[in-house]
Amino acid sequence: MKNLTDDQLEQDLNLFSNMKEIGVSDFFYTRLKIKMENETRSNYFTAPVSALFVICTLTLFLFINSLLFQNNENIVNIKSSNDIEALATSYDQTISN
Amino acid sequence: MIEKELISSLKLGEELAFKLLVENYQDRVYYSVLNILHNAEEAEDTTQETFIQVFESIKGFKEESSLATWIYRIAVRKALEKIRKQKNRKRINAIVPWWMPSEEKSVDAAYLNPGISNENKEKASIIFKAISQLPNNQRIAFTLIRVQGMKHEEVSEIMQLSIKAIESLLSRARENLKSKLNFYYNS
Repeated sequence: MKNLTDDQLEQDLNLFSNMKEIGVSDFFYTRLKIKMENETRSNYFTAPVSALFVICTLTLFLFINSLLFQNNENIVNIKSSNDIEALATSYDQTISN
Repeated sequence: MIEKELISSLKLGEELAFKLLVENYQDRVYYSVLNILHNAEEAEDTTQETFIQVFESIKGFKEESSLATWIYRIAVRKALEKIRKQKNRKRINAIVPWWMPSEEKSVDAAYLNPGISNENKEKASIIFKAISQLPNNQRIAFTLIRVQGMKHEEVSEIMQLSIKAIESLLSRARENLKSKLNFYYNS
């Protein structure tokens, strides 16, 4: 097995010193402008849509929560007050002996 | 146009100034990114992303460094993001079933730098492959200094590291490269 010496490595790496600089292909600025315009357009459309989506989701979430909260209140009431009487009142009934 | 004037015009959002900036730096940025990424398509994409970032954040540019250094810093960051994405893609390709399309080939394909003369193409391809296996910081420092011929001071400003740290990165990169090339030449 042959080991690479420092001089050999240096020699290998020297091939970069003769390397020709490569630039972008023609019409780079035009392509860049198109990309920027497309990004702006997609942001312009997606931002209001996503804001609307967030607001709708939050409203729905709050609505479901309030419904569940109301139902829970009934259940709590039944447990905390006089059991049978509360159950009856929750069904608009009265208990008479 | 003097750099200061160019920066203030850019901060005002003048399109002509932006066009001038792009035309001044597009080749240098592309060449650096190409040497880091070893892929022409991704280099063009990263160059575009760099200029978009420059356009979006020029108002926040505090002029503590030169405009060129600042642009290079953004370009290097973008190139590193691309490398991270390439690695993630590779990882995903490794777990993708054999019958699904994979991009591994395009990522691993031998890189032939168009700026290298024909007689050196094969050797350059081996060296570039070895460079691409270096840890990110070593890869960036080595590419900017040894491949592109930038000065240590410039690279230290771009990478926001001391000159000593850059020298240390360079020497570790050289050692790593030596052992990787030993492996290639003997296998």
